[in-house]
Amino acid sequence: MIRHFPRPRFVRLTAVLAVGALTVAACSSNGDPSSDSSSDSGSTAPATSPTNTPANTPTTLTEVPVANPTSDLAALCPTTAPTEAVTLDLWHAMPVELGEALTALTASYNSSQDLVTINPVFQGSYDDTLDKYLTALRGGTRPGLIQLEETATQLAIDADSFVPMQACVDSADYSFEDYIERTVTAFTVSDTLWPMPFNISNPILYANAGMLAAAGVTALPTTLEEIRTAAQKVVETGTAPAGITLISSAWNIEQMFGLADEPFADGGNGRVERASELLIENALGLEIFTWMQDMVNDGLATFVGSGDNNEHLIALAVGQAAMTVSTTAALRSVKIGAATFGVEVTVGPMPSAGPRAGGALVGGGALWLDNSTSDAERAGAWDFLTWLTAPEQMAFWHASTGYIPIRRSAIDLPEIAELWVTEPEFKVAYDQLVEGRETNATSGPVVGNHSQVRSRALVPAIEKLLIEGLDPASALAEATTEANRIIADYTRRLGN
Amino acid sequence: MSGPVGQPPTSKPGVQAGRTRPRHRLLSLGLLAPSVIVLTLFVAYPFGRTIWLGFYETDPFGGNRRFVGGSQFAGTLTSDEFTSSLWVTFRFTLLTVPTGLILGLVLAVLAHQRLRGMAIYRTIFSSTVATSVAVASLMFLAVLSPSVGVVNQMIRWLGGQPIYFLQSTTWALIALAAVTVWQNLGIVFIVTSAGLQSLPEDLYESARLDGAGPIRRFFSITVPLLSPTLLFGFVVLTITSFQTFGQVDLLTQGGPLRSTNLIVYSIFDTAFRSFDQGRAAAQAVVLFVILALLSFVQFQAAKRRVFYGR
Repeated sequence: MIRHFPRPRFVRLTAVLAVGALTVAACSSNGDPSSDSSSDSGSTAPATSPTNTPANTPTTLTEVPVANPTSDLAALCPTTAPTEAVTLDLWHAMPVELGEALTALTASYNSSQDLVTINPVFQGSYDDTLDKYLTALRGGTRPGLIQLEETATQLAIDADSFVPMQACVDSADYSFEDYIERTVTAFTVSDTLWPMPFNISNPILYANAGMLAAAGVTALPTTLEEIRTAAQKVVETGTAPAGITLISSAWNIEQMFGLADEPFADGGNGRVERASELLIENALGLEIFTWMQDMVNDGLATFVGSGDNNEHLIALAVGQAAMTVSTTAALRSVKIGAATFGVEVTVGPMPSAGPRAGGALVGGGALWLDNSTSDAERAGAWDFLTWLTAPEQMAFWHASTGYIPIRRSAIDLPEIAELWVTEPEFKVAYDQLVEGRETNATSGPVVGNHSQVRSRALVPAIEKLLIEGLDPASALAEATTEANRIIADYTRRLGN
Repeated sequence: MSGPVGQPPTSKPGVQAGRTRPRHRLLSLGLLAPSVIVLTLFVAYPFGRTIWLGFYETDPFGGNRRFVGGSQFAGTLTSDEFTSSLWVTFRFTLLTVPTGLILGLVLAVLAHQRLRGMAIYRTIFSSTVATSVAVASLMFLAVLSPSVGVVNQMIRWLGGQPIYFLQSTTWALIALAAVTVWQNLGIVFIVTSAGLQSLPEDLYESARLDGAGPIRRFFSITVPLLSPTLLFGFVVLTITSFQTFGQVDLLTQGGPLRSTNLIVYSIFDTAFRSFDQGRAAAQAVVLFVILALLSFVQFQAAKRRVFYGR
């Protein structure tokens, strides 16, 4: 039974210590055994208490997990060099060009050694991939490795069917020194690293450079207020029918909470204890929702739905709007599309609601190791995962997709150095990621059935706000009630 | 239809039947076995299992069943989501079935002329049968796109504001209905064309002699004689409209604000997105009962109005 590991090995710091955060984090990442004795409790207020308000919630800093070769976990993942030939299926959700880049990587790995064969299998969207895996859990053939979206983290932990990556980290005494810490902490829950981070993205602002210039906007807007001013200029000068296109993306809302360093859910964003409710009915939530509604009502923004069909990006490419916000993973495609229409696209950091106190969340996917694997397969998988996230491979992956290279030294490699000179747009998401402070708020929410919370609570609330004109406070209240019901229902069924 | 026709009985039927019954029975059982096995495996067993699943609540991974009695069935009937999905599905049926039937029939009548090149038109009209839902949906996605779609380009030329067909609670269901009607056109066209071929020419001739015009001939001869075919089309279209899934999944995912959350999509969402199999099974059973009742009513009502032959 792998469910929750009592692992009181890491110092958990409260906001009081925030000032010294980076130095402390650096020290304890040496694997200092003295940190093992630190208590797990007492560092956070009981987050589930009803009187708890977001403003009073101490911000807990998450740390990169440190290898502990003597832990009980280490036995789960023997990471000695592979000695027998193994083949592992890798289920992934990377379509077209992204899938081709991944396949090129696995092919390169397979030919680099004789013992481990990684067999990539495209399974559709992230949701489809998860569906198929959960179905396979009830008696089908499970893959050795599977790529899951960050929203699947709590669900995958609860599925009790994965070997936590922490086991391999411990047994290999692996160091994450060269990794961008935040990509590792994002997948660390209760001090255990669960999957290996792989394809990491965050949202950025895409803008039509020509239109902004024509409207007299000289600098790319970085806050919601500046977006509004820029949109006003675009619409008043008649440069485009709309300043910006908005989509009903819950991810964007979560990102704005991360940028403001406010947790999205209780329990330290679900990272210290299981989250039971969302913390969005507050001044920040109200500010974001009011801004969105006013933008649409004042004719400055067009609401184009879910964005699943890339309507917001198409609108940008054909000049129906001057700006939009979308994932950095779309950068390559947007550049190609915009060039077709003769539009010059420029990109900037994700706009924030106020001062950027926190940082952009770590979005994207990670690779999970199934626990139906044999010891030899686990050793093979670990060998592959460390190879895959090595700087050379990350440089290739970044240049061919737009996903962020998660290794610091990758950016010194010629592949990236040259790319960033010729196409500096690719640097924006990386900068935005490394600039962010490392807290539970900026590591992003870990919530049971997160994707349902998004699609059944947050998206409908945004739609009511922008289509039906429901007032922002009521929309937030409805979203919270529905989300809490979904989380409670999920948690209750876990106990079945 | 099984007995030999036109042969005199060689002995008393009763005696013969009594003597050969065991052998006949064995033979018929043997002949029936394949279909019995297939039906049991793929219809009866899943159906029984679905009903059984409806009485259990699972954990979010489909395991650890807990008996919850009829509460999930009751919950289905009282849930806003299920009833709103049913309502959306009824509206969708109203939008697609009559339109599809009428358009298909009109095209079939138009193509039922002996003119040169008619085969080309027939091929075009029936071609949507060979188009998959995915292709049709992606085609409409391109046609209806607010930024680059043909329809909105025309609206802009005429000086109007672009319509966000798939993003609006008013238009999304109509857009889905349009895809569906287009998709169904081929099958309705083929079925009604086949029906038209079998109509006796002499009736039209005598009607013409009596001075009946083309419209009179259409309503007084074509429609009544075609009524079995139209009933068939009506029932098939109703059933397919209740089973619509692909268009919803590809174009709207049930949104915005559940305005296109057709019943089968809603059940899929419950089963595979919320991972709540028990509740989804209960919904499926309730849907089955509703559809069975609906089909019964449909056939009862149609019985009196359908003309099965002279």
